[in-house]
Amino acid sequence: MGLIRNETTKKVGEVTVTAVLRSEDGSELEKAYTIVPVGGIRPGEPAPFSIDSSTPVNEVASIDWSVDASPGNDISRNFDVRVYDQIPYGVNEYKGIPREDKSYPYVLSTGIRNYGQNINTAKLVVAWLNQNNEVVWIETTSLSEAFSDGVKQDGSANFKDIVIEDKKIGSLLNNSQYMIWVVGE
Amino acid sequence: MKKSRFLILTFTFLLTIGPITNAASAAKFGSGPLDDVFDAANYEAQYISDLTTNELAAIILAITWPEAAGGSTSVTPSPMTLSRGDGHSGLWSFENRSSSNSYKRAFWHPGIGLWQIDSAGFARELGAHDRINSAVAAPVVADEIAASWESSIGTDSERRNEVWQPWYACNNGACEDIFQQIYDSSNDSLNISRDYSVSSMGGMEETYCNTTYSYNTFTCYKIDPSQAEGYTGSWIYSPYEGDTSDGIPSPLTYSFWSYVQYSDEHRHWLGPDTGYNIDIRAIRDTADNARGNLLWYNSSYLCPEGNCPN
Repeated sequence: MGLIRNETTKKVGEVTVTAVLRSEDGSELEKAYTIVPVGGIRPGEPAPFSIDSSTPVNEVASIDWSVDASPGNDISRNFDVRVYDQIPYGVNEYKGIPREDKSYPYVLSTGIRNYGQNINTAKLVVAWLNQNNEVVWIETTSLSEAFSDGVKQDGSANFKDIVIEDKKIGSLLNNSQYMIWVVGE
Repeated sequence: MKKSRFLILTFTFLLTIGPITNAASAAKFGSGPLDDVFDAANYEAQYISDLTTNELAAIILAITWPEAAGGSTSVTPSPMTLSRGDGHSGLWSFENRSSSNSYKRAFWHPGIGLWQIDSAGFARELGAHDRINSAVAAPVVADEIAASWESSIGTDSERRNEVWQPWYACNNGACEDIFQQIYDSSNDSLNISRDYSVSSMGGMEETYCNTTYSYNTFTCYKIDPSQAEGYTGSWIYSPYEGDTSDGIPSPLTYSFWSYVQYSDEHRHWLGPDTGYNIDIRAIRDTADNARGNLLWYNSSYLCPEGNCPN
């Protein structure tokens, strides 16, 4: 997991990150790639990515990274993002109210106000960072069912809650900062 | 002003002889805030084809008892309600959530007012005083609810559930239960009892301030929990210095001064109000969530009513 940054002077559309894994003798072990979940990245703006490979870590001596981007398009990014609640993992009470979700997962409850054009759908991407500003987790969520008809200009909408049941990850997120992106189409 | 004289008069008519009752079972609500909610609902309802003013007002009102009054409609929610349920260390003075902090009651409450408007959610641009003053807060909440209502689809109950999503205390049907209690859809009426002891400002004092570096005056507000109107049992309780182990309950602030200037929210705790041996101020960029983004200083330059710090 990591962050890319748009260091061009223009908004870019879809971004592909490629990692070529190499052995000690420089030979290519595997080529892995991923599409960055945030489109329409503005100049200077970072965006998260997560990339998987099947090669055992101990066989990898070096990684060659490359990034390709398509031109910016009409992806809407003009939203005010609201975090309604960030409920820590493992706590049985939140804001003085006993929790009903008895497994006490980590929950991030969010919404938007659409200050751009009408949109049919939207995606919210969250990256959590540790104290060294390293990405430790990424999640994506979509609009709640009640907003499946889209969101008009100046409308508000909620996203489906991000719920992390895993104890190790939930505990990690409790102590992490987060960055949020919203992409509408 | 967005509203016409005609609309305000129409609304007064509704309040006087229409839907409001004083039955013993009626939910109690402050008179000043009730006017503000109706005013805001009346404005927004003009643009919504499938909500009446009273129905929208009921959606707005239903939030306040779970958020600010412990869920009981037999008490009047306090406009000055200061949240005690968030122990984030950045909200404690000098970001020091420990027993060694000598200034625990210079605490930055994140959720404030009848709707517990929070700097992580919508209306981050509002200062503490704006969130208390229901004449400011109610239109903001009404606008947000209207924007969400118009975007949502489903049954009315499902749509209410969505528009209440920003309010955690509405979970598990708490706001729906109250909505059903206070609103009768058969005759579009409300069952609310006015509490004339509660005003829009909720006991907050509006005055003027200047600074040690400028004689120019501006409007500032004194927020003193001891002067709060309405039911305070849900937020004024011991331990007043909070619980440093997990931060909950958080401290209850001593009285402080609030204003917004140049896109910064200011809160100042002055020695004469707190009894502390220093003045304290904290500043939030109104674009930011208070948690982790406050700047704390062990001094103040604020001069309420011309009285500057020593």
